[in-house]
Amino acid sequence: MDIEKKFLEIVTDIFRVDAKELRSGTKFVDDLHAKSVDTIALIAATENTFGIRVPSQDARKNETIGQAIEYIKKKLSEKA
Amino acid sequence: MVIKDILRSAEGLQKRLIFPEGSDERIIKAAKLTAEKNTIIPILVGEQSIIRQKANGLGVKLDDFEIIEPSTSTKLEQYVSLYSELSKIPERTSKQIIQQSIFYSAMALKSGDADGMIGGLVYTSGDFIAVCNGVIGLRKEIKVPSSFFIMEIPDYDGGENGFLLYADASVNPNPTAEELADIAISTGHSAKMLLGWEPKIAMLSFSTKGSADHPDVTKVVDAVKLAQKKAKGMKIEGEFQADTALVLSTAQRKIKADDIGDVAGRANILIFPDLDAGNITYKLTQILAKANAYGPILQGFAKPLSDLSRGATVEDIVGVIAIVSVIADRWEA
Repeated sequence: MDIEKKFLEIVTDIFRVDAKELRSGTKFVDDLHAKSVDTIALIAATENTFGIRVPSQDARKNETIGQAIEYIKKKLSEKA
Repeated sequence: MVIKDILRSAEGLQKRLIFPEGSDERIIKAAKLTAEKNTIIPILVGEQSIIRQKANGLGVKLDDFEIIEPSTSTKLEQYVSLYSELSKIPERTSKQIIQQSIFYSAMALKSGDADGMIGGLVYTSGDFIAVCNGVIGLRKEIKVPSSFFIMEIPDYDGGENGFLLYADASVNPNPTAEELADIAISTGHSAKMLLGWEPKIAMLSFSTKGSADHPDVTKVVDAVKLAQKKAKGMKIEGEFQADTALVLSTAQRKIKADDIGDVAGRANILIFPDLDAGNITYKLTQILAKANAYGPILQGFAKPLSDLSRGATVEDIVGVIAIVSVIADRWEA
């Protein structure tokens, strides 16, 4: 699975942005204006898509798209 | 006392309550205890195998329970479609979101497949409220969710036979005048539905009817006007100091006879200007007056629901189940 592509698909769907506008440094709150319900939806979609658990305190530490992708990769490698 | 009355009122109602944290042992135990009294028909959401394993370990038979694993639910596609329409999130990602039990449960409640929802043992109150707000939405003309406490005050003969409702108790740190008006109206509805009271709502301040001039007083004065306009027929008055709201002789001294109304000195609901005041007062009432505080109970949503504190005991959950069941039974949209 292309983790980056799949995660960007989730982000574009939830925040209704064009994937071309997203960068590794794009911030969920400052740039995408994530509200609480968006964050919980993002966690839910990430957990179900990748089969990992994402505690909400972990999710909130990942402020950028790049950090979130690295977190998912780490979680998946721990699971393997 | 009040909880015993509510528990008794809830018996036999057979409300279909959905629990997004269905695999929590406290939920399984509390659901069983209340199902035995025919208060609820429990709907537990979560992984079937885990729920059954935990129930076995507890010696709980799940014959009268409905257990739903979202990924295999026959309702999944329907909820995905509805959620996608509501959130504008494409179905491919909505499907991943709805498989999470809190979103699935909220959609079940929104769709009328459950009468009420109780959660918050795993999710924080903030997250639980955010999902409920985003999926279920708020009551017509209410723009902010809020919460209240039922205060049972020993040896107090005011309020409603020694009981008062306090709001907001836990959600809005510094409400605007519009939000304060909505908190008052929501609490009035809650008092009518849950306790059968005629609400007498006092909007509290450090000023009584213009005795002080300050932006914080103006906020409460504006909130009173807005609430009276929005909820015609509901007794909402102020701005009052606490003694004016609760002690008739004080109210008679501070307010002209032709302006005293039905609430001053007779209030059964106190609306605090902000969360500092509400939180401090409920704790002081508990300590100094040895009062029992039941809550916080969420209100303002378009459907009956409540959250639980993460440290809730089985007894606490049984109480909340009874409260949500009674509210669901008397629900007025």
